[in-house]
Amino acid sequence: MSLKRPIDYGLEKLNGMINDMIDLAGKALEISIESILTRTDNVEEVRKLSDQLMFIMDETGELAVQLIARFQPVASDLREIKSAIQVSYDFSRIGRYAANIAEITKMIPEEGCDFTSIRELSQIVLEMVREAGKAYLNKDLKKADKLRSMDDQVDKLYAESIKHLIQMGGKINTACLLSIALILRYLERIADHACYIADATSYMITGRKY
Amino acid sequence: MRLNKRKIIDRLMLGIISALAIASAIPIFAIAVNVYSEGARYISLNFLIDLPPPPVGGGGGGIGPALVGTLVLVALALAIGGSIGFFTGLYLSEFSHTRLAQYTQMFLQVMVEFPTIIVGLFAYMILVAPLKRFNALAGAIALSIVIIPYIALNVREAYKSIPYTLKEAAFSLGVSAPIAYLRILLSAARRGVLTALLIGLAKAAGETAPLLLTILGTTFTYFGGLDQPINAIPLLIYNFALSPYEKWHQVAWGAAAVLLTIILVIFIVSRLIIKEVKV
Amino acid sequence: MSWAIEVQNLNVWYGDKHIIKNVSFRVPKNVIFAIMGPSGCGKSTLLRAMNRLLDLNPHARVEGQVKINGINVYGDNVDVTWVRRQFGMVFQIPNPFPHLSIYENVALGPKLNGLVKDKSQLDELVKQALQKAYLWDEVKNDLRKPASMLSGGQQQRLCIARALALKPRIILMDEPTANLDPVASSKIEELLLELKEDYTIIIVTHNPQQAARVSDYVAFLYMGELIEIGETSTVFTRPSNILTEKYVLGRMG
Repeated sequence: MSLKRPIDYGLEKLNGMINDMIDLAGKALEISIESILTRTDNVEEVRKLSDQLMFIMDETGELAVQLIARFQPVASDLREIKSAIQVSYDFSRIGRYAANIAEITKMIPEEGCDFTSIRELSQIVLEMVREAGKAYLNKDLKKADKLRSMDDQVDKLYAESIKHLIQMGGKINTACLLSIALILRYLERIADHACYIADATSYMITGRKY
Repeated sequence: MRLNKRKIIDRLMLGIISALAIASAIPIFAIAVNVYSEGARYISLNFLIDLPPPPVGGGGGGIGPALVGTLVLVALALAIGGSIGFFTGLYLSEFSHTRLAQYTQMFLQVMVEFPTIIVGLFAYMILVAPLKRFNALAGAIALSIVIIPYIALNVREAYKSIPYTLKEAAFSLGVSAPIAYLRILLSAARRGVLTALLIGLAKAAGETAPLLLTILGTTFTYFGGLDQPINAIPLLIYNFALSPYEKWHQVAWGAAAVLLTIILVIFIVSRLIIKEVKV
Repeated sequence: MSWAIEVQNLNVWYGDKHIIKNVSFRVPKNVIFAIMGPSGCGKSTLLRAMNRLLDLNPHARVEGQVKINGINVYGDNVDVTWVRRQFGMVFQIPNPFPHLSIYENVALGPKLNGLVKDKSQLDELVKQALQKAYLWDEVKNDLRKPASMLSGGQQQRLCIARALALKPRIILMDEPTANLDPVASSKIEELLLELKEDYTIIIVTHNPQQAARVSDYVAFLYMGELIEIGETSTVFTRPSNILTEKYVLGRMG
């Protein structure tokens, strides 16, 4: 008999919510980066997306609790629910950081700044966020592993960029210096969260984080 | 020492009880052996069909009219007593909470012990006296009255033993009570009901007292009509056994063997049916 | 909002004992509605009051209303057999008619109620009912065999098919998995989740976990009184009555 278990209906709904969060988080990050690079003020839009993400995070938590109360989940069901709770938090944080990034647009001086490092780093981080989402939805262990190597890349690039900033020192506009430093920091945090998502994916599939 | 004494008493009691059990079973075997040894030799197809022989001289003869009579009376008794008994039994089972059912059941249990000669007397009063002659209908009615309690009480048991949940299932299909009881639940109770009817049949075939005052016992007519006298095997046995003629004694033995066979066959069949129910 | 069934101020007595005490609730269409509570709280009685199967008990007395599509089943001119046909019922101990075959068990209701005109219609109806109960594949070659040769879980699905054959609106289930092993039980629970698309299901259970798994709405009945009723998710995450909380926590008697 190919019937769905009672808990399957709930797990599908949970996945749907995470799916939504993946879209929203990717979009928020994309828009915020664009905002910085093109000096267009999209803060409102990104803030809205971030708020939505927080709302869905609450919803996901609530649904997870209901599923636990109703279905006494075990094994992979239980890990899936725990991972969903974890991952919803991570995506909401990504949304928050995206909003933080977008807010920096106002700080950027008239003549602009040299955002080369930002450009490079943000490409990788954006890809990480997307890959993390795909890894989770498709329960793809290999993709989850790939994220860890991408994170190493990010860490390296981040260290280099910070060093470069320190070297350049007074030659850069203070506003630019701060903007770049902050954005680099936020991007690095976002990459960390993408890694946490990868860890949660591994845990969901194998029961271990690595 | 004490243990031994207890064991001895134990064995003694067991022995006595077993002996008594065997003793109570002996009569049946003794009777069967007796009847068959005296009467089986006379049984043949002709015996079952032919008119009885003249008291002296003449050919073989048979119990034809009596057999026909028994068949007619039994059929009528089953038709009347069977249907009344069935519906009464059904009522007793399904409406057992009513006072009518409780009193009726008590009454029927008394009727089982009732002297059947009195039933015959009653039938005489209501059917033989008014018509001013012995008749088959009176006999049939008397037999019906005798078998109604047996059939009713057994049908009641049959329906009572249907699990309540089956009754609920039947009614949950949204059928009326008559259909539920007669088409669905009757099927579930059919073995018990069949047994009840077989018991009725056996009784109707074998009871003698109700016939004594009702049917007279014709010797030469097979069937003259319900308002006319008729014969039956038990009555023939009674009359012929009491007669002074050796020929008729032989016929009586033969008839007894036939009657015993009928009863035994019914008994065996009903036992087989009940066995299936238990499984 | 149209309701599948509305119970209003229902009271039931067995002789002098007050079994159901002024119970009122409404069941939406196409949901699984569970009635849970400890043994002896009156759940089975409540169920039987709905399809008037309680009438079979001469000591039962009912007051109040049970409405289907606005019609009170206890109304004066209401035909009780019509009422019972609006419901399909499945019982705690699987009770297919043991003297009938698998086919005949399902066909009996429609046949006796004149739902079909000829044999081929009847065959089709039986097949559909067995398919809906997810039993067809297992018995399609054995339709003439007696129902008693099926396993407990299969017998219960046969009873579900028998109930579905009459095309009722509402299916009443009285602890349908109480006598089945866990595997058979979960098959039936999964079946219910599919059935609710076409029917409204009211299931009585003494197992709150089953109510949690399977139902959309749940009512908690205790000593004949309706203590709490609501969406299952809510009742099991934050019950509003302390008795309900005690019951679902397993801290009640």
